[in-house]
Amino acid sequence: MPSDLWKQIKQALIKAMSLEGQARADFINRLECQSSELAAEVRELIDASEVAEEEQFLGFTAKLGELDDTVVFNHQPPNSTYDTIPPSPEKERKGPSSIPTDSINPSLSVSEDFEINELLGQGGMGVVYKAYQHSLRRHVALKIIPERLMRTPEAVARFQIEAEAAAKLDHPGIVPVYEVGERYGVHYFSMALVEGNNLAAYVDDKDSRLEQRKAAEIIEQVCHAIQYAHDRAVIHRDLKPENILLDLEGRPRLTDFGLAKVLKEDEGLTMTGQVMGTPRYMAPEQATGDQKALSNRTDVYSLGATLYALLAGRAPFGADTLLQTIKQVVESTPPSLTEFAPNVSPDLQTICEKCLQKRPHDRYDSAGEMAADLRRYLDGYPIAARPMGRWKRSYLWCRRNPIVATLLSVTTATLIAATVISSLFAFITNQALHEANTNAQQLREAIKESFVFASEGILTHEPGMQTVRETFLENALQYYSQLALLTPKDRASQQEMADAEFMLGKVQATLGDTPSANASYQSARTALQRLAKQSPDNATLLSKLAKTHTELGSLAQSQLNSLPTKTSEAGNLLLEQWVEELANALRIRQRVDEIQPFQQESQRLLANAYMHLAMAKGERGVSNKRIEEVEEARKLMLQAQEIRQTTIRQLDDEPEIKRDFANGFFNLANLRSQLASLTTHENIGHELLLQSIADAQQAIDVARSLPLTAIDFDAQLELSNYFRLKANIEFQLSLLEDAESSYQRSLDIVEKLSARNSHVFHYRLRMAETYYNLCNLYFFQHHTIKGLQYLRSCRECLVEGIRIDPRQDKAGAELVSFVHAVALALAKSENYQLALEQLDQTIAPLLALIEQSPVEYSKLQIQVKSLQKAAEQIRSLQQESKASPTA
Amino acid sequence: MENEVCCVLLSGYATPMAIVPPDVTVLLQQANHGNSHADSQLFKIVQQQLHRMAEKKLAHESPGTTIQATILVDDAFLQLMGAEHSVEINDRNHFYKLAARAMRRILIDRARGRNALKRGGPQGKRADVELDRMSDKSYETDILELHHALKRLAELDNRQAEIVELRHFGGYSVEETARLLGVSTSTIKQDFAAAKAWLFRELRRG
Repeated sequence: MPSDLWKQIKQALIKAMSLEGQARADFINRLECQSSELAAEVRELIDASEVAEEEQFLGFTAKLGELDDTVVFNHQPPNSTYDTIPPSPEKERKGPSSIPTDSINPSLSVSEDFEINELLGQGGMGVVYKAYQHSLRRHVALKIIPERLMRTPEAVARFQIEAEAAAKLDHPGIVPVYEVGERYGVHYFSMALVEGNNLAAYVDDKDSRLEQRKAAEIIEQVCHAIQYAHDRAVIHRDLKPENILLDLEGRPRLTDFGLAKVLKEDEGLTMTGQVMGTPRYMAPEQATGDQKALSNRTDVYSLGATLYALLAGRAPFGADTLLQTIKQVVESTPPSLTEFAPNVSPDLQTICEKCLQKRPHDRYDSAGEMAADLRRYLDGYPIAARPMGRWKRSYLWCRRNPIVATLLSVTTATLIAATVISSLFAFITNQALHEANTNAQQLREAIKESFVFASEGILTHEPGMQTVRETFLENALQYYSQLALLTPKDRASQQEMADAEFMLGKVQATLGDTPSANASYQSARTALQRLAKQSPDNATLLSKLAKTHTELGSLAQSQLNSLPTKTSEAGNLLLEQWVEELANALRIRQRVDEIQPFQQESQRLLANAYMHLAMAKGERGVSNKRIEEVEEARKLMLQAQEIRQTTIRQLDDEPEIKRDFANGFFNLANLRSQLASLTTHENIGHELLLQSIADAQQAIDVARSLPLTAIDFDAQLELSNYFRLKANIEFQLSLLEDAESSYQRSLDIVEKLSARNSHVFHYRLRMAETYYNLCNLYFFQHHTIKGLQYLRSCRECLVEGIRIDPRQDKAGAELVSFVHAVALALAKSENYQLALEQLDQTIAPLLALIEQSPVEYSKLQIQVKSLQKAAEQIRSLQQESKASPTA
Repeated sequence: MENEVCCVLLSGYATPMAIVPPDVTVLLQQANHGNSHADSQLFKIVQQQLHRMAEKKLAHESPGTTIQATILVDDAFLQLMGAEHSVEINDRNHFYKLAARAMRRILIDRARGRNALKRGGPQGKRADVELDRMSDKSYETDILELHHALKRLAELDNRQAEIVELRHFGGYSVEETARLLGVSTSTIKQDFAAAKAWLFRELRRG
């Protein structure tokens, strides 16, 4: 047969193989018309291929399903996956609902006394409605904490402080608070209703810009009100045009002491180092989260910034992204007022400059002093403030300032980004969102950038960041669900919507709302698939699609991990889903790599795709006891490593890839040890375990070669994991001394981590587990006393964890299972007394906790019961052994 | 070239030569750049190494044991090249292709050796290692027949024959094969499926 003819046959054969049933018959019939010889060949070969399939000819069989699957990308046949997607249905979002901006929140029927009329506005910490109070026959402004914010006790506490602080103030320049209440768990307070605009209206709208004397007068009055509050130890901390209302008589009324810090009672809440405020009007010391540096002068800065905005028609600072804005606030000189308001009085300019000094001591000593200077200007007297030579001094000072250095450290920057955004949401959701103007676009970018930055691990484990993170995520959730709710005509583009869906999914997943996250990711996937169909070579799109698949895969994975038994039907389904999503992700990543080969980032992601699929397949292989699949997983992992190796060699120093590389070795070690557990040959198993140790060692070596700058908490935790895995395998191979030293090194790391972040539950758990590992190791060597010492550490560590956070069920469960196992082992070796002691010593602190707060620690009852049951069991064993001493 | 190495194996494992010549990586480089002498030298080394390792692994096992060819190849690579990963990716690909060829050769030689034994070889010789079981599931297939059919396929479509060699004898996955040959995975799957149909028909025709 000439090779040309074969090429023709081959093509027809491949096509026929990709078809089924009638479609295939039709296709071959059409071939018949062309050439009967060709059709006959194809028929014969199809038959041959079917028999070959049955007989497993050549072992590895490329199944027809697989063929279909891969044809999709190149040819998109009619039944490809893209077409099976139903045409985009108009979204009926089921995700957590945000506060409707145009309707009445039904939960507000909470107080019969108030009748809600309309929504006035909403901010980070609450929503304000206009309401009618029946008992006193007056209109009021009713502010409530949205339910979604009620989940954290901290939010409630902050709300109460706000209400308390505001209620204490009685000044004509401050909107009075009438009543603070709570009904059915909904916290609210009523305030005087002020009819009129807030000052932001005069900043944004060019035509209604205030005349400079008028602006000075208003700010003078605000200064007096602020001075009044300062005299009562209340700092506003969130002064900005939005929070200054102008009533119908033109008098400014200050509102929203939402962030007010009650100077005398600031313990607790400020411990988290939260930064609050709107960055464009925020003083540098506030921007860097330096709680101790906050003072009256922090408000003076914001007063100056507000005056500046009234005169210039814009805030002194404002960049494309939040981080940039903060950077400006800390480092830059604001543009000269004359740039925006050529006729501005030099005195007002000087007053602004004086307020906007970076260093608090260079500003006015008090709001009262500022008011006095404004008065001098208004009355035509020379002002007290001297021109500063255009901020130069402060700028130079700033360059040497430690704050700048602080800002540049990742942690602080993240912290700022996260918290600043929270307060910005007020602004976004109110107006910018629906307008979809450039401003909103910039904010959207900023939020996304910072969310990604903040959500990817760094924030999670930083000291004291837990509450900040929660607040932040709640706000992000609100933002993205609002974005997803926009009507189609408001949508900037399908791609943006897909992005928003993706981000929404990500926030929901981070908050643990798996069903909603799943739904969001799926709509993102659908949208992206549709878009990818239109432009199949768009690497950016494909990359996003791959990312969505990966996220869907890891959702399935985490759901699987949270199942009590993985072998259930639901478990199998999730496992399949996990593998499938990651296989899709890999396929797309490969395609991206074809489109734009040798790009560092896509190489990195490609390697990760290989690794993730390998992990999924490894899990499936182990769960189905299919050694071939685990072996396949090992190969995928090797491929990931190879790509990383190549990339690392090309780039001199790429910490991120190096970290992946170390992680790859770790996973490889895991896979090898799993292979070892599956193999029936002891020798092979032994060798695999030895290799596994070598892999773990490689992971350790690579992780330790990371540059110092790349070693964050997560990297340290990873390193401790590597040591622990190595130790586990060494233990398995009876290399007891090695195992002991590896466990110790792992422990050293987590102990340090946990000491620095006692609230991070994750570290604590890992620490307790390692204690338990060591306890096991010593028991194995019959060092009972030493073993019990470690059991004790393990117990104390977990009990402390439960005490700190009663919601962590896992600590209780682990505690019981560890102690139970040890007690049983002791009982088996007839050390009944010792066994009972262990149980008692665990039960006692748990009972103490329950006594201390029965409601909070109610779940512990179960743990205590099961331990008591174990104790009974052991006692009866003890009786038996006494009864038959001969045994 | 195939003829040159045909009979190396039979004497090869009886008197193993130095396993790790220091210049293996150099050889690999040269081979990949078209030096056919280097290629055949390297081929011998790889083949011996594979055989030696297979024998060692199977030495204590029962006759039915199978080994995954790729594990063998991966380990051979590590042992020959050292773990320092200083091998260029292209050279590395070349090695893996070469290893698949070597595995094929090993299996063929084993089959021939066994046939010779059946025809009355030296008495009492241990039926060595069941190396031809390494290509796992398909040991029912007559290796020699397959080898010849594969040669005929190579005349029709060289790439297809190469794919079969890599997938079947090298034990590489679709993805690995795709990387080695620098084509897409879908091409590999399609070509392999078509080649399988063709080969199966050839073998059945006898």
